[in-house]
Amino acid sequence: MSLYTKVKAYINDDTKTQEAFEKETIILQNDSDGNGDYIKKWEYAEKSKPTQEQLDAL
Amino acid sequence: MALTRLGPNNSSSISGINLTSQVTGALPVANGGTALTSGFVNGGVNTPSFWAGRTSDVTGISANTWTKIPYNTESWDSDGTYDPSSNYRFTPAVAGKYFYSAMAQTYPSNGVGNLVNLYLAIYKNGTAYARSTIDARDTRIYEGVPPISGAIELDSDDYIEVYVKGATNSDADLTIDGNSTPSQNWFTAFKIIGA
Repeated sequence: MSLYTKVKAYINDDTKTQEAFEKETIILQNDSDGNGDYIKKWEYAEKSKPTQEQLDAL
Repeated sequence: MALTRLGPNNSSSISGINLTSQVTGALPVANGGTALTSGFVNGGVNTPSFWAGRTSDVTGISANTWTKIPYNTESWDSDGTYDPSSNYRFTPAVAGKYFYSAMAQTYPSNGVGNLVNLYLAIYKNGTAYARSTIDARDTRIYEGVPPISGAIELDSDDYIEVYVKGATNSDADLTIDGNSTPSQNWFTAFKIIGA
């Protein structure tokens, strides 16, 4: 499961997820350095940035 | 009006005058204008310059995730200032204004989804500087490439990279098509003379 899929499940609202990524209140990034995807920006007002534990639980 | 060639072709000196170091100021030209010798005799060079592409597909690009494109093969690299093996970035090390161009032919990895949108971005020192967009919305497309080109001012230690981001109707990963004939993916830049 990709980080994006987990974030989508965490927000639990497809329309709001799409809007957050279009407006880039949430930005995920991968620098092709072997460290994988990460949350570069989280300014989504309706939910706080998820912890790693919360993401792992999804 | 007769023209006289003063020296042999490709010569940098005329009767003992070194044109690259001993001529300064302005040269008269037709219709009363002048031309600076620094650009007229010494000329300018469009380097540093490079062209990089892909030798194979780039797979596993997560949906909605800005991902640096690892352009891993070079056709030329005048000063060895593009890194094709680890950071995939152009650090020209010569301050100036540069033209850049990039492409990335991208499609859903599962082969059945459709692109909802696709973005290509030039990052300067880790931050988005310029972006191109394909936004398909309700008229989804299968494969696309949002070419991007422009100019950028770089200091001696600035660097630029290319990132891609796309969304599909199935949240599938994305693949950049590594087919090199004809070329579908590239990242190139060169120094602009006189800017």
